[in-house]
Amino acid sequence: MRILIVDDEPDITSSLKIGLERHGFQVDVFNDPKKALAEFKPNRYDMIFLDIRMPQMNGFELYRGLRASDQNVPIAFLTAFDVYQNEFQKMFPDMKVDRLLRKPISINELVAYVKSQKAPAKKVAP
Amino acid sequence: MMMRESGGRESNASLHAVLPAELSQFLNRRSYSLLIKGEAATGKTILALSILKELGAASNYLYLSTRVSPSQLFENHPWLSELPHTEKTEKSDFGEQAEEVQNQNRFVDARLDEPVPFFERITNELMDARSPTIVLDSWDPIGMMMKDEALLSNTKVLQTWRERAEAKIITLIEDSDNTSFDSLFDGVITLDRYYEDGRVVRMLQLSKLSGVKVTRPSYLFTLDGGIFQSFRTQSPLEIEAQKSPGWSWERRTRSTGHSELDAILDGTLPSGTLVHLNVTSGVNSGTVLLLLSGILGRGGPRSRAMFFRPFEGIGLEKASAALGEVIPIRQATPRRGSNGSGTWAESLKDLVKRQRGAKRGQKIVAVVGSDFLLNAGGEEDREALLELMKSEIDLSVLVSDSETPLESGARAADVSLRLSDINGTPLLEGQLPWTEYFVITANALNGTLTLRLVPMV
Repeated sequence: MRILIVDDEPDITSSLKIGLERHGFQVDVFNDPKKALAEFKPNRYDMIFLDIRMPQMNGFELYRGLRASDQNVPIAFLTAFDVYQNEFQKMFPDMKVDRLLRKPISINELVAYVKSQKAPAKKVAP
Repeated sequence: MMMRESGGRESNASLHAVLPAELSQFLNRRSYSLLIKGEAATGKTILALSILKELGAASNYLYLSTRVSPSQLFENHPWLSELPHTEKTEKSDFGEQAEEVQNQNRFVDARLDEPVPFFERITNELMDARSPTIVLDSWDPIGMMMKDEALLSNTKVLQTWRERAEAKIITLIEDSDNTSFDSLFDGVITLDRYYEDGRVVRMLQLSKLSGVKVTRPSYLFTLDGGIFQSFRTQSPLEIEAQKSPGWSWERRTRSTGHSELDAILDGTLPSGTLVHLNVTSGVNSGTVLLLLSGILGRGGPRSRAMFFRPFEGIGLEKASAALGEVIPIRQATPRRGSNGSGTWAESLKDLVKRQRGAKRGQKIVAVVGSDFLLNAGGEEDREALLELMKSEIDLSVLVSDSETPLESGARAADVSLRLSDINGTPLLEGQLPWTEYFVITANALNGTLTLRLVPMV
């Protein structure tokens, strides 16, 4: 399973990468959202995590850019505060966001979340 | 956070916003939403920027400008460069709606924003920043692009996110009559600007400040110096507690724009000046004396003789307490064959002659009420008395009230002022020469009363 993480904080991306790779995932990280968008390849990832507040390009803008190339990949935002999904959908009804994950998040929680995303796919797949 | 409720200024660099006490208290809350209403040019932007300035370094802010570019804001308000952590970028790319600064505290050009990216900018901040202050200047261009229901819904959602992020959201709106959002905000204030005899009056209404007891719902304010300064009521007790000569004009760094007012503040009115001061009803006598002391300046009995005729509300005792030693003008005995008119002039002439003879070089000043002139006799006697005041007395102040307007006095005066009161705040205006309103402020600092004339612009 291949995961993309975009966050402007190198400490966060490196710790998440190490943690997830220990659990057997392949992880690409970017600290520059513009570079992440420029090098993005559709259908390459099974899961994408985006920080929201980044310089140059924020998480929402990056989301739109990624979605334009890949309609299916699950995308989750990382946020510092509790934001409930239904409220988010009220504000942005056209935005297909799979989850809002609260920072800081432990590796175990992240792994559990990724696996929960992976599980339904297995059932559907023949 | 330090909020100033009163204070002086010496230069542009040390300008401080002066906010109503209730608003300062409200702004100290950990999280709030504040709606600032007011039509164009009422001072909403300056108030919002002044709040940011007073929030100071503790603030982590985002300023979304939908009406003017951040470059224009910086040009209009040079003191913005003093805000913490703001750095103006060298190039401002309007086409890409570039951010004016690169770091966390920033001004953003949102003039071309559609509603979705506009809300994204806000939610970015609310989802990932601790206790930010977000200023939306203004809401109208975004609101016009949205259906009422969607706008209301998004506003509600923003309020819940704002609470979670412990943020402060300050929203500016031009549609003062629109009350549909009031219930969603913790605080609602309205700025108003109107004209009286061509003079600008600015008024702030505190419509709602949750959690704060509003003792005074409205304040006059000025945008002088490009910063928001509200005025509190002058307390007569506070003024009277200051004994002469425990006051001074604040040191000026610039002209009032009117040479006569400058001369009053500098104490350089030419000899023989007659000042007519019209006092409207409702003005406290302490305020009148405060202004008189400001016009007449300081001076001990050795350097100055002050002739005084009691008038409405101000007797000898009050006058001497505020102005220093005064010499009462008493009516002389009418001459034989005279109907009594003209005796005031003679009495005053005698007094001046005697005083000049006794102490050469002593400055002679006089303060008289309108009855002094009205009871002088006929028109010719009044003219004679006025002529005497202008030729023999260094500085005369003729005080009249609204019920006894003194046309002859006003005609003869070199400077004609009017002292009035709006909402408990004393205002001075020049009628000759014409001036804008000036608010008279008196701040007691270290036992000294500092007087200021602040233009209402």
